[in-house]
Amino acid sequence: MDDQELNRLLREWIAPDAPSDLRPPRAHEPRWRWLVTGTIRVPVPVALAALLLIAAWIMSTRLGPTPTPDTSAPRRSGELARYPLTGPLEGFDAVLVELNFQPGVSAAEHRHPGPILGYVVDGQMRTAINHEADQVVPAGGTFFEPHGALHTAFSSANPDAPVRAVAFLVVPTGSPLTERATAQRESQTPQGPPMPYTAIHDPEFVAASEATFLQDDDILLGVTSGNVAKAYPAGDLSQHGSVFDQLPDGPISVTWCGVCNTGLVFHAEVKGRTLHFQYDRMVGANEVQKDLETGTSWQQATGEAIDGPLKGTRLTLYPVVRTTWSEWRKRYPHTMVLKPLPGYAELMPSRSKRIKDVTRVGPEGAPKGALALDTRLPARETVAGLEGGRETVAYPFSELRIARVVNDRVGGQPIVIVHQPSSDTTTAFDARVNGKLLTFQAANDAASAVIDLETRSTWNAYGLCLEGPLKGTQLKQVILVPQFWFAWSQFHQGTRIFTARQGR
Amino acid sequence: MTDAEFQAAFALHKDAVYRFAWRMSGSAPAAEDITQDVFVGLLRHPGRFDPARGTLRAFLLGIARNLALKHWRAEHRFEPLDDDSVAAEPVDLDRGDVGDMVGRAVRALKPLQREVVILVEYEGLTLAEVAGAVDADVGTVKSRLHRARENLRRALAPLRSWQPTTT
Repeated sequence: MDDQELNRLLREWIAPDAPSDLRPPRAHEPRWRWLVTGTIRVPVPVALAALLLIAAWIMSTRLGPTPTPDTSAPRRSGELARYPLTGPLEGFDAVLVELNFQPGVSAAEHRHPGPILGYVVDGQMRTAINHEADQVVPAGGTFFEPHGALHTAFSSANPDAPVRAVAFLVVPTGSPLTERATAQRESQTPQGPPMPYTAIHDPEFVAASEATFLQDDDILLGVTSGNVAKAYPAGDLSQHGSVFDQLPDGPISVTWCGVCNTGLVFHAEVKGRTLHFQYDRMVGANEVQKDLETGTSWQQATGEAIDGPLKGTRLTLYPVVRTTWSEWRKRYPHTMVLKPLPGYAELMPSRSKRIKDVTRVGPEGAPKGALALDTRLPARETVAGLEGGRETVAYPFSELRIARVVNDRVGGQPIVIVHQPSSDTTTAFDARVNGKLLTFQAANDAASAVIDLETRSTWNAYGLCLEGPLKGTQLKQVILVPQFWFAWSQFHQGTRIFTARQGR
Repeated sequence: MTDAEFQAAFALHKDAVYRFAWRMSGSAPAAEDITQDVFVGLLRHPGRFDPARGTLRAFLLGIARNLALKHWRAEHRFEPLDDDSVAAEPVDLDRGDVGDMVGRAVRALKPLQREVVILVEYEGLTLAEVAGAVDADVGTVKSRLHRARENLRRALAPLRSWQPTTT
């Protein structure tokens, strides 16, 4: 190629001009504006010391002469402050609320979508959880309610005086205001209990046309069995951890760990015994779920029993596709969709958005509790993990979006991976048909179709041959495990990382 | 520099800076950030521009280049900025139009090669201006440009017979 030809080609690459709304930075901003808009960096020990001093000052003023409570105008309950948290608690808000109960008024039974730590400022608080005996907390005392506990008593313990308390909560971002629910219940009839993090063991489903709670680009887990197609929206799964379901070929557990951005489906049957799972604890920043039948604890990311009677056994993965609602609905118009329970549906938009956001661009750093840090990739980059024989491979979504179709060999087995960038849907298949090895390449930009170079047959992204000599053939699905890199690498040490330059 | 001069400089050079940053980073948000930062730099330290050493455009592109490299380094901590080999892989003909393929080939170049190609071929800077902007001597710029063009020749070889469609 001569210089002239090269120059001619180079000219074909046109770059856009700066967007019209790009404004010049502000010149000569008055220095006083810094007092309004500026930020300062403070070393953590200094910040902590300052907070402690303020807390000590508040306590000391409280221990001084008690101000006469102004009973003429009862204060209302309400939110005092709310701040989104970052770091390991990203996705949650820290909320400070003020609670005021007039004598004789008590809250209906309720729960909170997070733990609550309270401090009684004035009066005496009567409180109880889970129908246990009432506790009376005097002014200056504290009370604690664990996440999801049923608050069965909450009122002033003194029939003649109000009680005032402040409470600190950590709740999922955008979650309904716990204190508002409490405040409403002071005067209104009780509503349903809000959002404890409990598994669903008797799911209900709606038809696609009724799934108005879903946006087109919401992420979900889709499974099929015979003629049945079912979708489990990630925004709902992430509020339960586990959903038990019966498919024509047996019971399954559809799981989600929000900290790892992992959705996995397992056969919910071990040695002929059906198991129902419930969130138990976190290990290595990944959920551990306990089965109700044997009390065994299972690591979600690996399906391995880590303690209990079944320790050492491993759950079998069930084939699943992680995709978007529009993509799934297009493929399975007759799909059923997990119906969110009352109270959970309201939280789905914010949950779904967060899952989309972190899948596209992972937040920085590893969450608290991650066991090992393999720094070859950012901790919270989403990868599709694949286990074949003794080999494991991580396919970063960022690389798959470039490569779209990957012909690879994992543990000696030839596989093809197809990634549709518009929906981040990744599928994987055994690349052999009747013992013959096929090599695939994308047939279009969206990678919604692929072509094999050996027979020139056209396939869809789900391994079904649509046209050509192999028409009607279905490739054997290989199960991928999409999750954050820290989770995949801590449970699969020494894993290989695919890069788009490595091949197609 | 008066406010009016600054506004004029922004109006005159923002597109060149943005285009350069866009070509270097492959990302519109990154290009916007870099463009903003370049002009914030000019606003804060106008004295760093010395008309005796070159044009304002070359100076601004030099700042943009440093910011783009910083960006790149944050994402590719262990990759070298340049290498001597001429080993570009041919572009994939199945993906996008010719412009996209050329773009992918340029973006696949190591950053120190990529920036000289963009500054010379797209922004029309002279070798001396590029040398000033990338803080290297003219001989080094020449050899980087040579390697870059060799790499592009290899990468774009599948397009050898391609002719622009005339309408």
